[in-house]
Amino acid sequence: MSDITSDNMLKEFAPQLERTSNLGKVWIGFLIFGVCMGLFALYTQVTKGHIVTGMRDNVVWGVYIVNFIFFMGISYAGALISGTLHLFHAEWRKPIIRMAEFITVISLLIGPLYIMLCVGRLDRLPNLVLFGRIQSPITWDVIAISSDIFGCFIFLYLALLRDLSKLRDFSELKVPAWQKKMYKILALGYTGTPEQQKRLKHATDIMAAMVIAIAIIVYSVLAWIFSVTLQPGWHSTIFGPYFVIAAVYSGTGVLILAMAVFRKVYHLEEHITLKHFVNVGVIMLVLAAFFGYFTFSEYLTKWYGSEKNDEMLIKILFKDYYLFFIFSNYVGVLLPLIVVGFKRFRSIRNITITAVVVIIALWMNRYLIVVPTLESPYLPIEDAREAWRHYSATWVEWTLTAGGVASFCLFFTIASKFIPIVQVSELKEEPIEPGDITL
Amino acid sequence: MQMQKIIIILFAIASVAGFKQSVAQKEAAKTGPSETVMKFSCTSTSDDSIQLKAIVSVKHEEGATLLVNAPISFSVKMTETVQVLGKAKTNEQGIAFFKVPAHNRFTRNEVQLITFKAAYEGNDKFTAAEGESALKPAKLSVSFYEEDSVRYVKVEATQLNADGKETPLGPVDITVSVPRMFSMLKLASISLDSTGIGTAEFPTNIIGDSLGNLTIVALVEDNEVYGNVQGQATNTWGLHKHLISPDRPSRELWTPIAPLWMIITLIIMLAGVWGHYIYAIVQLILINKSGKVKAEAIPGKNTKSINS
Repeated sequence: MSDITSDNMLKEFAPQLERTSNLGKVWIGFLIFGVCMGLFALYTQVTKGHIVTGMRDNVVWGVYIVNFIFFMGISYAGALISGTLHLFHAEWRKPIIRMAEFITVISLLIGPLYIMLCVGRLDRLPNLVLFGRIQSPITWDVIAISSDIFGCFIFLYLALLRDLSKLRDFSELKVPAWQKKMYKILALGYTGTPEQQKRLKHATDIMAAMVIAIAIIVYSVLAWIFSVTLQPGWHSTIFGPYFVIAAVYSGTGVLILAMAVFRKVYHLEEHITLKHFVNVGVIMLVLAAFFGYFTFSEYLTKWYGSEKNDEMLIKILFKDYYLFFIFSNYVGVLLPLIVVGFKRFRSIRNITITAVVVIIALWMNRYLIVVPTLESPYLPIEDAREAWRHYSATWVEWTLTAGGVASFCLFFTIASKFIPIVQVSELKEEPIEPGDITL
Repeated sequence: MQMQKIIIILFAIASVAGFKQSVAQKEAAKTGPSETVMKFSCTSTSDDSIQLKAIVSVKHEEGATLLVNAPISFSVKMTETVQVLGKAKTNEQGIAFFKVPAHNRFTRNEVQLITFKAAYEGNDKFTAAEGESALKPAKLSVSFYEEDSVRYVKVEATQLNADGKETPLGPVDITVSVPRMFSMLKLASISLDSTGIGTAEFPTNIIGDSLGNLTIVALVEDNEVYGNVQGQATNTWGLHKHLISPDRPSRELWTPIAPLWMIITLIIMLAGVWGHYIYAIVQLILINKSGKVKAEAIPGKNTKSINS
């Protein structure tokens, strides 16, 4: 009975694996063009050096590190959401959990690349491993991120195993022979025997818990890179949890956006309904409230303490960056509260637009954490040229940023061409109604 | 509809914010040559020379940029003419140096000052700039002595008169400092007496290099008559800088050993995380094994038939 249901599901999702529409080909071509532009910018940076970026002696970090934090953030969000929903057996998660898992792994592949773009001497990169000192937060980050990438790959693979076996055994699937062979190899001889099911469940449960734990650890470590310094705006005890909340918050936004895009492109209206958007939207609302609370707490204590350099930083934030500040910390917090909080605003379109605003706001939030602090150092900068005192990203940095986003979308698109974007093997158990999140 | 309007306004705010960031580094279009500014100063040094220093920068709307490789002509004012001393090009910091001996062949004005000049001729891109500075040559000698276990720094100042004789400098204020990475660390201020001599107690907590070597600089700055005067000497009174302290492992960049608590924490965390990963991988291996065993147990049946 269950296999019949699975086969029906596979029949429904087979076209997305078998064919690519003309529009899909144009989309892939556009993304490849974006990636190539990024590679050209990279070539420019490698041949001409970091002088082609806006980073200088004073502001040594720019949009690259912002992109790194952003991509790592959405990856942890994917891990936390998929891990948590799995552990709590939330039935409604089934159509969307694959997307969360893809977000996790793909953004984990792209995020660390931005760190390498910040490094002036890439030939010295092996020294991080060869001469790494565990007293250094950078070493913590290398250890934590590599552990996270490995763990998330295992978790994704465990989650894919059932679907891979279904794809291997589904004779009506019209894909090239090599793709069939790939399914066969990756399916690892899984046939769904009680023993295999038991082993898979144990492993998945454990890895779900592990990806949650490691996501919290890794994002805290990332926050500590900033907070263990004595820089104004960075030296904060709440930076760890603040970063974790911000990460999950931005990741929820990306998940909603992915849900909306794939729902439209692959006609998943039957599987991904308003209920899913509202449920993830409620998670986003709760995170918005936490994020707003942490942000307020962070700036209130700094403002009230009136420490000289903190005061200078707050002055810069409200003077030079006030539009960024208002957008990221007011609009980015209040909009989800309004749209998801009031029933009459809850529509798929509104929640999706809110998610886009949240994604932009959270990117800006990371920019506000990194750049203004570096523009207000303890040692005064005198007689320095303007570009050294104030950071402004160049076309090379913006192109590489766009290249990263294009790579993310390209990997996501390609992944959806090999694996169904929803968990086919699990969808047979009929979905949503009781136990859903409501306000 | 209301919702859409709100969203459009929010995007407009975001776009304006983004635009504001991106325009910061653009240079304003110039029609004529850019205006250059020169800062010119002269310093009498302890090796009986006068160092001429010209800093050339180009003014922009957003600040100033230092002008590199600009030829600077240095000269001295004689009775009725100007004698060219030589030329030097500005370095990466926009600075051109030129050293002349503090002898008496230069013409002095009525108050015994020698007037030096620096000039940049300019070109199509940059305007010409010049600077002028006058001084009476002087010299600072720095020495050290110890009395009743207290260490002192002593500064003697002399001036070179028009007749070629050196006489003690009058009462002037002198700063005694130690060069540090970014700036000069001030140790003491000394007011010279009428014999041109002044002393100050030498601090005991100044860190030197690994052998305790220190360079002490005495400086008269922007004096109306003597301009800048600099003298320096070295001693070994600094505290020895220890780069490695093996008995106190800490977070410093140069310590080879991490604190024990950190090593234990890391081992526990890594063992916990990677232990679970290994468990998950072992489960996958066992799944693979059991699949193979099952397939072999039913001869002639492929995986599809087992599954169904």
